[in-house]
Order: sequence, then structure tokens, then C-alpha cells
Amino acid sequence: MSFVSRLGWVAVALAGAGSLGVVALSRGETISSTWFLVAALCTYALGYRFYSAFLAARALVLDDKRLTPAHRLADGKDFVPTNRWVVFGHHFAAIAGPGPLVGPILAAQFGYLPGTLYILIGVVLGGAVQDFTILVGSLRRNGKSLGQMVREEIGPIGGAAALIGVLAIMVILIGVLGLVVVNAMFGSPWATSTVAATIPIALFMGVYMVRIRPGQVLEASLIGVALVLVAVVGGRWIDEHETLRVWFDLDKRALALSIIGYGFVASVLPVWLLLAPRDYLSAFIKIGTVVLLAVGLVWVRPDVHLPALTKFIDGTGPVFAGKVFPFCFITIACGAMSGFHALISSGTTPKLLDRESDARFIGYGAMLMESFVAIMALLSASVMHPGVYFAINSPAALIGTDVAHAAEVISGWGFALDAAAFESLTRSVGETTLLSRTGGAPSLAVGMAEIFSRALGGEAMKALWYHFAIMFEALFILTTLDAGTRVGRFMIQDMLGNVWAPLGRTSSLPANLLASALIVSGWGYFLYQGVIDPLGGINSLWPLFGIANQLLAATALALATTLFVKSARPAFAFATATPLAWLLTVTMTAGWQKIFDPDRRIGFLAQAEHFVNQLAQGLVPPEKALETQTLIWNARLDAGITALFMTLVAIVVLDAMRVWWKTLRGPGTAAAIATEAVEA
Amino acid sequence: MTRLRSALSALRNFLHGFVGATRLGADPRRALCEHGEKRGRCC
Repeated sequence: MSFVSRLGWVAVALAGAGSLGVVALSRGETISSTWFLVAALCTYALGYRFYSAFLAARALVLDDKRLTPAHRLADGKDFVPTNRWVVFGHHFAAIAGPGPLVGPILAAQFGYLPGTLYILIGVVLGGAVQDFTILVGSLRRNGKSLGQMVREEIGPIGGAAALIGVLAIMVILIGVLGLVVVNAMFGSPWATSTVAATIPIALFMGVYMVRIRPGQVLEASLIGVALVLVAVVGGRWIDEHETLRVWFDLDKRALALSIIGYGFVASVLPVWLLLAPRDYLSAFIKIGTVVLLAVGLVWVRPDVHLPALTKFIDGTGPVFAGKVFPFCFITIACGAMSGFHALISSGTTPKLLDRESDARFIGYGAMLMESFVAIMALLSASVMHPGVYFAINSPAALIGTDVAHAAEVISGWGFALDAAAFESLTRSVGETTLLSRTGGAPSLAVGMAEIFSRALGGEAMKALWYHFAIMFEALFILTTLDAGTRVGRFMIQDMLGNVWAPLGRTSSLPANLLASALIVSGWGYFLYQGVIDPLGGINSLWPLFGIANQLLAATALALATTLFVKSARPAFAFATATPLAWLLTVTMTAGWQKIFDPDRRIGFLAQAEHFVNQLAQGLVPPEKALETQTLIWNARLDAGITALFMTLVAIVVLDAMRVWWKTLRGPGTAAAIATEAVEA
Repeated sequence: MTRLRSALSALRNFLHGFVGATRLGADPRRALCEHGEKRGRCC
């Protein structure tokens, strides 16, 4: 490294440390969002330049002379050597789901500091390392999937646990994302009509690309984007129309049922008709909006009003219950570390890499970019005044349904909320109410509308920007929902095919309908559970998703550690064993508290007991008795699922430890190294 | 000039990959397959 270059990196390190110092040490004053952006970019630059280079050169010993599966198994279909920027775009699109947008918003209830630090430290030392090492592991094993590698390298029990983990994540993630959309759209004809319009627009694009102008993807996408923008503007007209607004003014239950119906139809219909065009539409809007947000933040440089730490680090938070440790880390999930990414790193990406050294740029680099999206989401929540943030994100059970009462409660928590100013904000974004729109999406939309309108259009454009942001989030989420439902359908068909072969045929309509119905009932159940939950649903479902996701990350890191232990360089296992130890501590503590904590807002069993006592003491009106029975069942079911997750983590890790012990102590070492050499 | 051209080319490739990925992703059997090598069953 030249002297100038060294000097440059010292400057980056100083700028990063200085900005991080300002972010971490500011108390009781507003600070500019620029500090966050500089701190993040410098941390990523240093992590990428030094830590990922160290892993690539010393731990994984990437070597371009070793041919990748894309060359060795080239078939022009699945295994194709591809330009590294194309693979980067591909990999990033596949890992960038709604998780990094929603998680940081919810975790902002602890203040901006815990979330910011975890997103930055977690990604550099954990999340990006996981994505990178799993990608290299798969790359050297003919592009094998995570499940296959766990089965082969750890054992069949670990493999089965990973498979259950994947299905469980799909089901819970889709359920909770459905709930986020419901909370963003209930009682809002403008938002509902705009999001509903994206379905016929996608269908039109599908027909256009296949029947009217075959293959004209860009043309169809541009028409689609234009139509969606018309739908955003047209939504206001529907909202003001006496008859039409009634059609789209839906309550939570009706919306949940509509989304369940949509998921079923999307899973059954041919891919070209709905899924593919919706994905194109979503891709353009996703990348456009994320870039717009980045430019907006740099241009406007808004001040951060949320404090560094709130009193809710003690576990009494209204957005979700639980102390900053472990719940902040479970909640952030995807922006710092996500098990879901291990599926992508061992999915299509390893089959496309042209050179082994590209794995660093794609595996480590794309995760840094995902983390940057999480930082931007956190900033969007942090630029709001804390009172407004809590008014939007607290359930009605805590703050009531009246703004004056909510202002009183939230002021009691130590965050000023001016009822008149909140009413005015509600009107300026074109809503009738913003109170208790839990789930993160609406507060992100308010934050984005604030930033966008300051850059372009001013107050007059705020309502349009807000509904544009809601449409962007819903499109983002529905894309995950329909693709995830289809993946789940194929996984179920694959399992059912082992019982009776015809059920495994993906082209068979009855088998398709059965598997679609099973997967949709799975996540539909959780969605409905969230809708009827008196505490808002997000409180119990998001931590459940976080635990499931981190379970999968623990599985991936246990696998990566096993690969290191079995390699010629077992000492480098520290790189994956350290984040694994952290994840285990977090997941196990969170899981234990979610089941057994005596506070009913945290512990599922305490929640069930509370409802049992209410029933026994006759405190529940007869018409609510049935619903209360369901709530008791749901709380016990959630406790059972959490216990299952914890058992699965324990099984995988203990099984992996057995392999480590055997490899390091026994005569298996030489054989394992030989296997690696042959596979390589 | 060469740098600008290569940056633009990288951006074009990134976008191509980003949109192309969702095309692959649209067929989840390819994007998220747990049984990469069992062609005809899952992939």
C-alpha cells in the first residue's frame, strides 16, 4: 500500500471514528443525519477494505486459478459465468426484502443509538461474514444449497432442522409482512386503492409482455411505472369520491382476508401473468426509491430528533415489549445479520460467479449495501419528533383512539406530542388518522414524505409523497409475499411428493391447489392472529420472525464454522464462531423470555394465563369469550413455536460441535481436507 | 473518460442484474431452491 493510500485510509478511519463519536456521545440535542451517513460509509469502507480482504486472503484463500462451478458445470441455464456487477445486482435484489426497512423502524423505540451501532458492527463482523463464507462454501461445493451442505457437512439431523427453519421463517415472515400492509392500509381508501391498482397493472404488463409485444420488458415496465404513478395521484380522487371511497375503506379483518386471497391466487396463477411483471414493476420502483431516499438524505441533511437512548431500553416499550438486550438485536435482524441471505448465497449466486475472488465483492459487498438501506430506514424514523413516532407506532390498547388522549399518554412517557400539530400532520399526508398505525411502514412513509417533500414540492406534495412511500412499501412487501408463497408451495409439494408422487408434480392443478392452500393457511393464520391481537400483533409476531431468522443465521454460521474446522485453516473459525456465539446468546435469551417472562406483554405463557384468569373471573363479555379462547390458543401456539426454534438451534449447534470435536481430535481431519481439495 | 465509461458500464450491469434477478426470482424454483441438483423435481 502506497504512502498516499495509507494516508487516505487513516483519514477515512478518523472521519468514521469522529462521526461515530458524535452519533454515540450526543445527548439531549438534535444532530444532523450527515454524521450517521459518514459514520456508516466509513465503517463499510474500512470493513470491506481490511476485514473482508483479510478473510479473502488469509481465511478463505480465494484463488482465481480454481475454476468456479459456473465454468466447470456450465450449462447455459443455471450455471453461467456472469459479469460481477450483474451478479452483484442480482444478489442484492434477492437479499433486499422489507426486513431492513421495517426492523430498524421498530427498534427505534430504544432510541437511535442501539440500532445504529448494531447495524454497523453487526454487518461488518457478522452478517456480511456469514453471506461471504456461505457463498464461498457453496462455490467450492458445486453451488450446493444450505440444506444440502448442512446435511453433508454436519449431519441429517442438522439438515432436517435447517429445512424446518426455512419453512417456519417463510410462514411467519409472510404472516407478519401481511400484517404490516394491513396496518398501513386500514381505513385509508387512498392507500388501499393505490396498492390494489398495482394488481391489474401487473396483470396488464404480463399480458403485454407475453401477448401484445412479446419480450418488450423495458417498454412494459415503463408503462407499468407510469400507470402506478397515475394510481398514486388517482388515489386522492378516489378518497374524495363519495361512492368509490366506500369500496376501498376496509377494516383490518377485510384487508387481511383480501391479502390471504391475493396470496392464494398469486401462487396458483402462472408466473408470467402476475409474479414476473409485478417483480419487474417492483424492481424499478425499489431501486428508484432507495436511490431517491439516499439522495434526499444527502440533499436535505435533516436533523435527527429521536434521542440516542429512550427510557424504553428497560423493556417497557410500547412498540414491542422487552429490554434492549436481546430484543433490539432480534428486531433489527436483516439489516445486520439475516439467515435468509444464506439461502441466496447458496442458491443462484454461486452458480453465476465468474471468478472466485468475485465472492468478496458480492457476498460481503452486497450485505454492506443492504445494511446501508437499514441505516436510511432508521434515519427516516429518527427525523420524526419522538412523540409523533410513538403516536404512530403504539397500539390503541395503550394510547387510545383519540389524539388528545394519546398526546396525554405519550407526554406522560416524557415525549411531547402537540395534538393540534399531529392532527395537522395527519391531514397534510392525506390520512384521517395516523394513530396506532403499527408495523413500521406508515412511520417510514411519514419520514420519507418529510424528506422527499423538503427536497421537492414542499408541504403541498407531502400527501402524494406519503402515498407514494406506502405504495412502494406495499409493493415491496407484496412481492415478497407472493414469491415467498410460491417458494413455500414448491417446498410443500417437494415434501408431499415423498409421500405420494403425484402431489409433488408442480404442473398438476389439484396438487398445486392443495399445496397453495396449505402454505396460505399457514401464514394466513399468523396474519389473522396479528389482526385480532389486542396488543397489535407486531408485538408478538415480529420477535417470533426475528428469532426464526436468527435461528437460520445460527445454522448458517454453525455450518461456516464447520467448514473452517474441517479445512486446513481451522484457527480462522473464530471469524464465524464469534458471531455464532453472539447469535446464540441473543436468540436463546430472547426465546426464553418470549416463553417464560412473567410480564404478559413479553411472555406468551403469561399472556395465555392472563386471558385464562380473565375468563375464569367472568371479566370477559360473552360475545368476546370465543375470541379470548382463540387468543389463549395463539399465545400457547407461539410459545410452542419459540420452544421448537430454540430446540432446533440447540440440535444444529450441538450436532456441529460433535463434528468439530471429531474433526479436531480424531483421524477425520486429513479426510476432510482431502474432500475439500477434491471438491475445489 | 475511460473511468466514467467503466462506471457507467458497471451501473448498467448492476441494473441489468437487479432486474434480471427478479426475473430469475419470479421463478422461485430457481431463485430459492433447496434442492439445486434435483432437476425436474424442484429445480
